[in-house]
Amino acid sequence: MSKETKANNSSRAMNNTYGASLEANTLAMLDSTGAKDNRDANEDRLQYLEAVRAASLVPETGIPPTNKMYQAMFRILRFGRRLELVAASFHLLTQLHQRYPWVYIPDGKHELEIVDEAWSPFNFGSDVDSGEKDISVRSLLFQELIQNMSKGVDESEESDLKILGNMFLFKYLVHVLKLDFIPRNQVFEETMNWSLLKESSLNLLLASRRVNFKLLMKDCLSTMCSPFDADGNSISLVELHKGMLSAMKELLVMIIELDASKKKADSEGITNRGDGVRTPALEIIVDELTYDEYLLSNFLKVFDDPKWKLEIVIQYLTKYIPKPSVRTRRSNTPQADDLKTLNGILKTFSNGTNAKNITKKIGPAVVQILIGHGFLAQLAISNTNEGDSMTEICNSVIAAFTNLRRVDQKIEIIPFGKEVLFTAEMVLKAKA
Amino acid sequence: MNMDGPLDFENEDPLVNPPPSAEKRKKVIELDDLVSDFYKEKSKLIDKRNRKRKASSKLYDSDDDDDKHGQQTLLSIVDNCRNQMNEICSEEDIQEWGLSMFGDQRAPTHSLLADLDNCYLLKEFMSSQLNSVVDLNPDNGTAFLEGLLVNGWLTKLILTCARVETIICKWSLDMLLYSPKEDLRSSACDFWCSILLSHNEVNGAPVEIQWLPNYQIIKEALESYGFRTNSSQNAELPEADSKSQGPPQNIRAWLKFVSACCQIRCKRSIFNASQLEQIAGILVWLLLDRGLQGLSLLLQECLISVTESFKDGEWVSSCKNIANSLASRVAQDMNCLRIVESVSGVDARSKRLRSTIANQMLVVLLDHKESDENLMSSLMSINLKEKSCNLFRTYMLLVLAENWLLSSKLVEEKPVLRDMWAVFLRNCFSQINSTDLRPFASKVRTKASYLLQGCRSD
Repeated sequence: MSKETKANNSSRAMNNTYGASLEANTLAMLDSTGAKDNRDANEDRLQYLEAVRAASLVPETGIPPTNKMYQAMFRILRFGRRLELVAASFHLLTQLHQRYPWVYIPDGKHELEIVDEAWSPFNFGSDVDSGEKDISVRSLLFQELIQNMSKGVDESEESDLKILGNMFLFKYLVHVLKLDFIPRNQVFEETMNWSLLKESSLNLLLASRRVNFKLLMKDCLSTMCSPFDADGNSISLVELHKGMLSAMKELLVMIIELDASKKKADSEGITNRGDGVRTPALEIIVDELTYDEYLLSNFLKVFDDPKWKLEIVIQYLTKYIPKPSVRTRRSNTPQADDLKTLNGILKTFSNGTNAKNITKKIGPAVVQILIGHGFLAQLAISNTNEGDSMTEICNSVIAAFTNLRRVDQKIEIIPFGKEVLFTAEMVLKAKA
Repeated sequence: MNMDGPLDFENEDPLVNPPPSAEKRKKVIELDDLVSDFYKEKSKLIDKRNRKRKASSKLYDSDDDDDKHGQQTLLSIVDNCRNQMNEICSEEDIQEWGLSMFGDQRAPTHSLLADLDNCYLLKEFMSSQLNSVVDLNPDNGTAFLEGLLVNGWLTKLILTCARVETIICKWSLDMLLYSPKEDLRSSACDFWCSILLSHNEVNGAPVEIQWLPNYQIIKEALESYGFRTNSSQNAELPEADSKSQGPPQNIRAWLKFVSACCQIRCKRSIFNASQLEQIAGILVWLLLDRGLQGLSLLLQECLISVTESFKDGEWVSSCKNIANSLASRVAQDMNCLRIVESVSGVDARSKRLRSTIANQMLVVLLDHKESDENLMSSLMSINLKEKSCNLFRTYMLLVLAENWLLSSKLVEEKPVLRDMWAVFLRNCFSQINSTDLRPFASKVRTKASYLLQGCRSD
């Protein structure tokens, strides 16, 4: 689908008159029914959605919906009492955002185009409710939504429709955050213009004093790691639960990337005190995973962004590896730079005392889980490029396991550890 | 009123009285049926309260014969009033869309499972030194391979080695299509999607896949899920078939897999044009199953992958074939509108599909095989003032014509069609009085008036 971008701005004046009459005509379909919840009212809502689709999406030069029209669609998504309505408004809204983005990078340019006064499901203007009629999502509501997700499907007492509706809503909100954040972050990396990210919906959402960031991260983790019984639930619920989990992953990755960009901006001195201080998400995650083997193995299984997964594993392991000492530089003490790569960390296991100490501190199973997931992430990253380092990593992985067995002959290699060895060996054979 | 017969709420109880088919119900309409039908549709809340009240008054009647006469007179007056109301509101007596596309599941006839003893990948490792630690042997081969699949090792390993042997292909596809374990089928689905789509990556190495599935295999899987191949004829309405269990969870993996098969860009495509036509038809039927509403995004994405995978030369005729087969088989009720609306109409091909399906349905409804202009003039010739005019049918024609004309460039290419369309809309608007109480009168009128606005602002 083509984006209607700046080329169409010239016709915006014309669009405005069309937009106004379209708004009046389509919203009239909803007026007659008000807030009723009977079949007629629901059919009118479906008709409204169809009419917007026909006017804004189907024609090659469609008329973008007005903010009021967006608001009406979002109302259906939030409060629709039938799955049909919620699903239809979700699809329509996501398709509209794709066609009429409010933040985008015009083709061939390196700057950001931001549409003025574009509609957004979020409202960060003030933390005070401006009345019942306002259906925008505030920071607090977003946090509550995540808390609801973390309660899990099985314990929740809410109706199926409510659960499905919440999942659709969450998925949609994360989608909006992403459409807003990705282009901003991309241009930030090129131009180091911090204000772009400062004004991103994600940053505004997290900057709210109403949000308890640490709690939010904990809720995300517990949602991602809680068991889910696929066979006891309907097909729709299972599919949406999967979608919710991947939205949760996307949210985490965005937050981590925002933190990384903020750190960059801090080091350039372009942030100020108004930007606030927040514990980086990655640190909170590593802290939460420490000493909780169940959470650790489940989280790493679900969280499959290779770059940040590798970073989590590295940060976790470095906590237990003796820091390089400047004064007594012995040959087998790792250098600071080595500890930034998985390979460097794996090499420290060749030292018997190191291997023994780490295993003692975090347990043999956790060591295997960490090495394994680090290796898995490394495989995903290296897939496209360098081949030599791949063999090196595989050798290091096998050597680390061999050392673990050497220092503790009674160590039990868990099934996951066996899979690590199998894969490393077979990659070596294929590359030979 | 028959006092010995079952109470009206018992009539609705599927345990006392199995629900009659929609046709049967039309024949024996009793006063009470009308009343309960009306209430069922109008408001469940009032219905409940009313049934309680009625039941209790009946109990009271049997106790006290003196009051019986007065009660009955009152009841019959109330019933009469309801009956009149019912006539006024009968426009709601139209079934909603929805078909139950799945019947009983059955075991697949052919298994894809092969003897893993011959698996080269496992055998090669067994000969390596490290096997003293791993202890892989023919007995635990399957369990080990499952672990590799679920934890993502198999996918990464195959992508790195860029080659996958037949046994692994068949085994993993069997997991995808038939495994009752969620982690196995979804991991197998990820595995297949990754290796298939590795062919589309610009700088990644395409995986050499030694065995590719065919249409027969995916069709057989769908049939084993209970899919009714001769769909509309034996697909019952969901109310009458509430006990059917629907497809197994594997349908999700099935859809993602079919979608990936259509996206793969290699020399030999997995499905040919007529198979793709059938798949597109199946997907549209699945969109009519309310049990799969949570999958509607997945279904629509899959439909787009299918339509996109036709070659340019095939598309025009294939699109017509898909539309033809759907239009000739779907019942002429809300379902035929739902079919049109379930095609997203966002990209060029789905727009064309939407328009063509609407066109073919008009052809079926109007029993017409001639030109576009003739189709429009039969629409224009409908006399909506006539009492016998079926306005529900008119409503369907209106929505179908809208989708046919406005999802395509037809009105731009043939201005005469636009003029005829405007005449038809004006007829719908002016021949129906705003106080017309016939079923669907206000719907037709409102819709036409909205569409007329669009005609003018062009």
